Amino acid sequence: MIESHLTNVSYIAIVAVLAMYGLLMAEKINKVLVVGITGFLLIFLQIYKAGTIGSQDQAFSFISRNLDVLGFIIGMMVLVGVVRESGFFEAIAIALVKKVKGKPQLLLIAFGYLSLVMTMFLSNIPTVLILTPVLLVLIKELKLPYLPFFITMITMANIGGATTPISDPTTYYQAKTVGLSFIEVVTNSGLIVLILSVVSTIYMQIVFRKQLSSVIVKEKEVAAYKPSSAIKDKRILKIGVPLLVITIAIMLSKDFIVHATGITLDNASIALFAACLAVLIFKKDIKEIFHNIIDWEVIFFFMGLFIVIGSLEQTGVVQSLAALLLKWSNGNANALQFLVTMGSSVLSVFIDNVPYNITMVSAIQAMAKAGIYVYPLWWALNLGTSLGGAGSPIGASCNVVALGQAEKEKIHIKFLKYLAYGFPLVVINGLVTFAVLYVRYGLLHH
Amino acid sequence: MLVKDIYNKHLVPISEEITIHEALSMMIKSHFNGVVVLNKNKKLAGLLLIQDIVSQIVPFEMTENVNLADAMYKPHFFQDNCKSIKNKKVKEIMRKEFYKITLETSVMAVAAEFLHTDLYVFPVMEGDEVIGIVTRSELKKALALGMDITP
Repeated sequence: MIESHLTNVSYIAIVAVLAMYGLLMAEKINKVLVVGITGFLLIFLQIYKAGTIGSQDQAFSFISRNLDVLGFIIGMMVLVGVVRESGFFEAIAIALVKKVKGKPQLLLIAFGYLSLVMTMFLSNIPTVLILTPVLLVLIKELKLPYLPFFITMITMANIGGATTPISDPTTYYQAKTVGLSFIEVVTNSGLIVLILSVVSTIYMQIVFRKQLSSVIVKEKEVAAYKPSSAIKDKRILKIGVPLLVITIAIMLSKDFIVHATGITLDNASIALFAACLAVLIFKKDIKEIFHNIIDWEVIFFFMGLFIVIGSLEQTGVVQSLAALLLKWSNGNANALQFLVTMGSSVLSVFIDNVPYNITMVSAIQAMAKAGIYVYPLWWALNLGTSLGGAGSPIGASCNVVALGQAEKEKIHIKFLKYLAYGFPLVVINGLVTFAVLYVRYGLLHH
Repeated sequence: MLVKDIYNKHLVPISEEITIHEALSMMIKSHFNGVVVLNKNKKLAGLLLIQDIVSQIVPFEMTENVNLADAMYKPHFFQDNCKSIKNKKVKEIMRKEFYKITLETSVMAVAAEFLHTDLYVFPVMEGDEVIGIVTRSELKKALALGMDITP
């Protein structure tokens, strides 16, 4: 049983975090300002003060313990930002369109899986930044229905985030904080992602069957496409793409390297070193990298969240949250599993999944410390937050990025219309995830 | 050197109510690549430049990534897009924000704006009346004057 003692300071932290969630959902004030102001107010209110350690020092320690996460995100942003200038990924997308001869049903499958695979290695925001322009041209040239293609691309980009620790910052945060290895994530979350991708593909083909069959694309319309013309920079293609592949390979094999040689490696230094090499080799302007390639909004959002959510840990609220989850599930492992899977899925449709994930990682860690078997819950949380992000236009940052680009071409997808297609799939995918985890850890474990 | 030393008094204004097809026909006849647009009261309403028409034809994402335009070449796509906009009215696509000059504006300011934006037609104003224009031809004339080149 988890001991739960809430003090006056705990209540201040709860109010602050709830207010932060409210402001984040209202989307009236920039999210960095919301978490920044909340964090500083908590610091001034002495929430973090612990013995002789001052409130600010203790609050900042929540950032410093996550430097690997922040360094990894920055390094990958730079590396992917430079490598995408090659035009390599656009060329692959266009080659696929040619391969399936522009047929809408097949194109939907091809585009979905391309989005999934690219997200596994590049994470979802760079993926949609690369694929959305290609998609918009296809929609214009071939008069394709935009809704199926946008929802499919976004869904696969969200689901794909759970595949490996490098697929999404929250997956990386969770794997790093909990100590889950690359292989563990791939063989648990990754495997279920493959199942969910099949479920999602079938769902899209069924719900969009009319829109897809109403368009006829003739082979000659895409016959003149020249994928090789999409290559913008051959030097980046020849050196940058292999550099990205080698970097990812080193990250994958770092556990093996430690075991075989005793050399310890971590993702932040690997990604940042590769980023420095890319900037040096391709003679990129460092100011351009700092201004346009690194998304400081994401970095500062994470830093602010580490502090704000840290207040819940500092004041014992996460223990209470863990206790509450256990109470709701009556101490039943399967009920808890269901609660975390479906709760994460549905909540992530409406709230930002980054703060949610960070809060829940702390809560589940509190359960683990109390001796509760939480291993399957990590996959429930990781998959739930990822698949839930696909449920609405605001479910994840990559949705906002993709739909924002579509707006520039006067393509507007209404919130409720998106929700009508996206939300049922979130519920279906949530149930499938629960079922797979139940069979694997509920039935087989016993 | 001031605008009054170089500006062109010969104006070929168009109405904001005509179609893009009609406007382009007039631009071809008058050999202007940009014209001033007047409203019903014969006051300046906007400018119409060739790139304002082109921007309606080319998808935004192709302007961001020119390679994409070549890699995703679909026969007749350009012509089809041209046909799809030809009956739009000028007022739907003309630019309403632009740099206005007077006879006393320095040519250096016009040249700086020319480099700063993609604008190459500057309406010369006297009060709220358009009395002339400065285009690339007048800038060429200004350069010639600066270098003592006689036509």
